[in-house]
Amino acid sequence: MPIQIEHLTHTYMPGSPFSAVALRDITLTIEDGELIGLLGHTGSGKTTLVQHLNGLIKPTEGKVIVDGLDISEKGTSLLEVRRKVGLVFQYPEYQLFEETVAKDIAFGPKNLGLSPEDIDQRVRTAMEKVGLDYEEIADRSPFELSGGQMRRVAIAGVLAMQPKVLVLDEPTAGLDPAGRRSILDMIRQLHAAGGLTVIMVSHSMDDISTLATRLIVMSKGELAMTGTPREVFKNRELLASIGLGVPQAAELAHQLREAGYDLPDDLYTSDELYSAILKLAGKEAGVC
Amino acid sequence: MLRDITLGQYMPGNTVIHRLDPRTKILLTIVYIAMIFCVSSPVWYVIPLIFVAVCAKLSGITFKQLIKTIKPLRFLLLITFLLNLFFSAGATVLFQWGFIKITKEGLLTAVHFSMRLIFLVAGTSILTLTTSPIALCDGIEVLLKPLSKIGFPSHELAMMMTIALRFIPTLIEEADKIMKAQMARGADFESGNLFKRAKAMVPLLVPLFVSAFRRAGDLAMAMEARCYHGGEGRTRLRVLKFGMIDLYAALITVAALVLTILCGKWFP
Amino acid sequence: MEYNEKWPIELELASYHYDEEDETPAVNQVSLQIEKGSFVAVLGHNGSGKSTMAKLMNAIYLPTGGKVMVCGMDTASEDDVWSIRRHAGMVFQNPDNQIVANMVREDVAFGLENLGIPREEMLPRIDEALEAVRMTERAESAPHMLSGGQKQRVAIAGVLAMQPDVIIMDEATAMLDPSGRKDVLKTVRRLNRDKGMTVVWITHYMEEAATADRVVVLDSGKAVMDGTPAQVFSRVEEIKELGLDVPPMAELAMRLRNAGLPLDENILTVADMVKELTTTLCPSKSNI
Repeated sequence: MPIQIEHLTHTYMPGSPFSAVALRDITLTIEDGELIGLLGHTGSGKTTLVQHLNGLIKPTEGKVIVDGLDISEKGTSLLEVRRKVGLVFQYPEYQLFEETVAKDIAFGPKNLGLSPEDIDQRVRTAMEKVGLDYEEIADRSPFELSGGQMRRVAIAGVLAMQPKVLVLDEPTAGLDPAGRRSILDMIRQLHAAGGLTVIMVSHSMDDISTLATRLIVMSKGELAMTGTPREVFKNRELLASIGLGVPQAAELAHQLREAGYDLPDDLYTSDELYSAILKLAGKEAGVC
Repeated sequence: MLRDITLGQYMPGNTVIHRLDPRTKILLTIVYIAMIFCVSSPVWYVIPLIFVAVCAKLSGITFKQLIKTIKPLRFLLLITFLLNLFFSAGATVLFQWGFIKITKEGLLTAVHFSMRLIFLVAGTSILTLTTSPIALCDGIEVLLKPLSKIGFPSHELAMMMTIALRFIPTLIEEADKIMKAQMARGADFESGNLFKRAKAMVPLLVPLFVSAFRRAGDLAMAMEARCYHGGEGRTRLRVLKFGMIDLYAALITVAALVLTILCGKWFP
Repeated sequence: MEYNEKWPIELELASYHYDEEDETPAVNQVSLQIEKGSFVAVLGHNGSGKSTMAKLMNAIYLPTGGKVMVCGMDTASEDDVWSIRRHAGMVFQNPDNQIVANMVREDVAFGLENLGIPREEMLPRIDEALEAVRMTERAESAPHMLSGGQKQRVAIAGVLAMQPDVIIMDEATAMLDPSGRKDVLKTVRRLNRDKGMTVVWITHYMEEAATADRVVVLDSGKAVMDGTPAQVFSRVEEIKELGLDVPPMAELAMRLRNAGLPLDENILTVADMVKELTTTLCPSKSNI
């Protein structure tokens, strides 16, 4: 179920003195099974772009087509679009509202008009997917859980819609390293096992570089670059010009090359650098 | 993207009226209200009319903007007019159809009361149109200060208003975000009858309240960390100062009030 | 006890229990002296007690065991509470929830108003504080028009205007994007360097702690490590076990050392690594 974005432009409050162009002429296709890292500064248009993917906001110009449904067309059921594309907002734990965890996760399926049995089944599956124990916490109030658990409940609430595409806006924001790692592992699993297409907005080059199959880089409302992490991180200068860095390993590789060492120009993970440096050391056999 | 909301009706500007001390404007608005209640017959609304027209002209407010402030009251106006028209006692019958009777006195009262309402709203709107909510807050705080001697919490009230003003944009932005998050889970805020719609607000209101409470707790701690301990011994960065224009404005307004009273006496 | 100006903040076996019945206190018998003019990072995962410890340092919480001294004043003494808070200023995590006024300049004045400083004295102090955080141009702005990083700088200015001896940054960067984080860190580093401001920097980001003079690692309310960043971060395995990150370069250096390369233990940054490698390896002959 590909998502096609054609010449998408979005202007906030058009015609008013506050009018601001948030997106300018974006054309993109997102294929099934991708795990996309969406990068860019605050204000680069990332959040505006992802809110188009499930029709929360509509294009000012251009088209967004989700699995054949044009979100701007009159007859299109937005509920249908939102069933296909699940969107997890930044700090999603702030949207919890029900008395119990199970009821909160059931909110989405209930809006889809499913039977109580189906809803219960979906709640259980969703909780399992995010690593929450149904027996233990389904009947507890979401407000007495830890921050990390609340975030998982919120993500389960979106997964219970059983979307084909899961969009996450900075899912690790505000978490400590352990919390961040476990959410990233969870996303990796959802992608690998669940066959979900995942789009993840992130600020962290190091998080995204090991996770994504493709990166999309936004700058000032425009599409600056797209490609595999390897392709994107090769463009160190271009990334720097829009104020983004490369992972530290890529930076090290670059500086070593500058210093005259013979290294491939597309290294970006610590493991690659580890092998490459050992290889160099072996070649030189420490004769300096 | 709701960052550019303007609060209340305030129209930023730098006219004479804008520059008046907020205390002057609040007090003179009270004088103005007294003036309206002193008008004895519809004819003498000509005085407040001239007064409002001059103020509007001076502050750069257009006729259209003034009308806009009255618009929300149109039903109340209609009801006031009709009730007075049909149910006022009077002898001179102008029109009768069955039990419906319109008298000359009724018509006059209806016009009189409707005018009163219109002028009340239009005149006080000049205050809110030309004074920022923050300045209003300051003005109210200073004016109420004498009352704190008898235990009235004037400082607390002003602090509450300041904080409310500070957090309205934050909470509006947050409400927008929560609403979108629930819509992403299939929530529908727009269709259905009144009861259904009210129920649909629960997923918006609960998180909004939870967040407002959390913010209140955080803010209280941050204020204490910055040595906030009530109004006692507090100095202020912003001090209000009366100028000559405040004096002129007061003289003109009071003169208009006296004129209204005298006109009522001499030509009832 | 005589106040030794060298140590503006001293904790002596300080403990804090949120609940009297709690067996494990949030802060557990911590003894710590913060040296005047130093930049001390307190690192720990969520729930390690680091934020609670910060709140002990300006009498928001009073120790349930032991003693906390701020500039020679015991935080348990009720008479000194306002003086303690003036001497040890605190910036909190959520940028939105600590700005009180509707205009930047007035918010900076808030603390001064509370202290009853005369207006003529306020004006130069506000200007100086705004200048120190480079926010002079936004003095008339409404807080909701600022970015997260800018809001935090306003909060710092509000503390600075009170002319404190110590600034405690209680996870003040946790909710910011990378550029906001950099911005705030740079601002506080500058205050520390140019004005000799003593800084306690609470964080879970190792890259921020890596720039400190000293790193204290907290776990389950105990100070488990204390030393220079190089000393602390060279203990890669232990840090990871505490649920924290180590600088990628420190980790890579450790792996290379384990593989037999004679690399120094003090590597934290890409620059350190390049310097160390260029002295260890010969430049590849093909490139010379």
